[in-house]
Amino acid sequence: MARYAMQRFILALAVAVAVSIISFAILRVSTDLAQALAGEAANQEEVEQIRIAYGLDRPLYVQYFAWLGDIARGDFGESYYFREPVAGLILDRLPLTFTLAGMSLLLALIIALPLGVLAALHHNSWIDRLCLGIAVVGQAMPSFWFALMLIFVFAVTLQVVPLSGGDTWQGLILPAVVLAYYATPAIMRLTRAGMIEVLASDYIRTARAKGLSSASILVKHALRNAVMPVVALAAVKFGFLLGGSTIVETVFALDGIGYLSWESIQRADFPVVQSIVLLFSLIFVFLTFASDILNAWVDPRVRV
Amino acid sequence: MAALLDIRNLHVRIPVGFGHVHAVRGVNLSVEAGQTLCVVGESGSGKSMSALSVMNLLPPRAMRDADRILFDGVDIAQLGPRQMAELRGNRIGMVFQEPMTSLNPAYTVGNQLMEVHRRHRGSSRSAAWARAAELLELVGISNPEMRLRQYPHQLSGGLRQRVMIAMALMCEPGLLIADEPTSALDVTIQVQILRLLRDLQRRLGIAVVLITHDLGVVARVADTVAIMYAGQVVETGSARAVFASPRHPYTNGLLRSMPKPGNGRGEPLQAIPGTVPSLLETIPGCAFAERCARADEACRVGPIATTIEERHSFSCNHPADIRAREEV
Repeated sequence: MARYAMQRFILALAVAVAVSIISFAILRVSTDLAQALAGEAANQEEVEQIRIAYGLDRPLYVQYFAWLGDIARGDFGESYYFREPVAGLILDRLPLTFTLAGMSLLLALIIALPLGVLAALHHNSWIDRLCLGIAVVGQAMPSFWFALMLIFVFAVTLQVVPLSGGDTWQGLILPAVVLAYYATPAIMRLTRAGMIEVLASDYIRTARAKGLSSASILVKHALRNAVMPVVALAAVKFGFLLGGSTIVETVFALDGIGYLSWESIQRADFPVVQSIVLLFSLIFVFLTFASDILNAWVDPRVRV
Repeated sequence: MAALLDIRNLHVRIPVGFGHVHAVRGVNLSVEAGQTLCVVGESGSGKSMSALSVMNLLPPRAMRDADRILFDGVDIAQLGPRQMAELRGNRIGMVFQEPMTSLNPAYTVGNQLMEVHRRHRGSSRSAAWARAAELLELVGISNPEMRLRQYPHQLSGGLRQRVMIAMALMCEPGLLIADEPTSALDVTIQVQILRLLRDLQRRLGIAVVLITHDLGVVARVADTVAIMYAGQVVETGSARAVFASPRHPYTNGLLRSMPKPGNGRGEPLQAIPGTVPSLLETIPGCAFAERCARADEACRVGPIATTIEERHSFSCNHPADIRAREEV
């Protein structure tokens, strides 16, 4: 187990380094930074002064390691627009986005796992087809449209939740529902496929031959094996929910990372965009690592 | 003495596309306590389906129908799913053909052994653990404490089959059903597992139903034999009687197609000509008629005469003479 975890960790580290190089490069190749910093009106001399002041005249690899060193110290640079450290901007908004993604994933699992199991138990029946229908609609429906419909029904007509804003937990209900509905279909269909396969397996027949209760056969023997691939998917989905909340945060006017990145792209606020890209990439790498470890924990065969 | 297990007129139908496969067609089988019954037949002869019928573990869409399936005086064909679950793994143990896939990969051997005992005996963890270790020892696994902590993927096929046998015996069942327990194993391991089953049967005094297509296996362990063909028992009796003077032409054919050391060396084995009939249609007469040298028109139309002797019975209009086998 320890050896396996170490292998995965080294792999994750290698990916993280690659990610950092790419996100460093994105900013350098997208524009002349000195020109961007100096502004449209600056003349050639001023641009060159800024280039030297910010160290942009040094070789790229030197700049890369200097940048890496800054990040290691928590210095992500300064926002062009806010004129304050990027780290602070992100840190302020991170809790909201994480809460939202966490709520959504939890909600998605609560809906998807039982429905997936139910569909597998009655596969090819009307229950299965109903679940399939829910999944197809969920996968096909644009989230901004679904968000607007929810706002119209629950916030405008029924007025049971606030219209927008994330100051209260009630404000997070609708956005969480929208994101959860986006994550549900894949988890549900994977659970269903896994359960159908597992329920037809020899070891389930063995469990029945042992006279175990239906609950024990279903939960202990079948579900445990069926959810192995779901663990990995859920981890990746969490990454998508973090990064994919941009549209939902914008529609619901939630001041999270997604909203910040959307605004920053519009303002060409490169340091903020670059930092968010780097941060989410690293979170993704970490989630993949975590899912590998989780997988090894539920599936003893992976550990060797 | 009343039989421990007595199956009368068992039918199994499996729906396929447009009709049914009539996999088991009126089978009678019985086993006495402490005896070994070998059910022999080719693939598709209905022997596994008959075994699974006893446990009510048939595939989801299969339909079972029987006049009665008496186990220890109770008609288990009438039992509900809960009562059947009380019986399974407790009073009837079962071992399957595929040891590689019959254990749950996610749990340790110990966990999977203990849960049977805990379920049926309500035993404590420590008692179940001790019982599991005892059983592993009984089935000839050394260092049981270590094995209990291992996962199935850490064991060889032979070891896994021993674990399966131990699992089936955790609650001291009166009957063990073994469905081709050695078919998936190496030849050397096959012999070990068979010897183990025979030893356990004698030491524990349990009844064993052994499903197999290997007549060599039968000769080693059987007290009684049932030969199945196309979903029916065509000949049954004490192993001695059936082997000494097989009366049904199919049994004769099976015995002749078996390699015999030191006998007829250099001669090709005799295969039975033709193929097994389709079980999609009803077979009016004798299912073996198309492949039988003795068959006449009456055999194809039916009915087929069933002869019942004291320790031997068979369904054939033209049975071989008592000394038929020597003539071959």
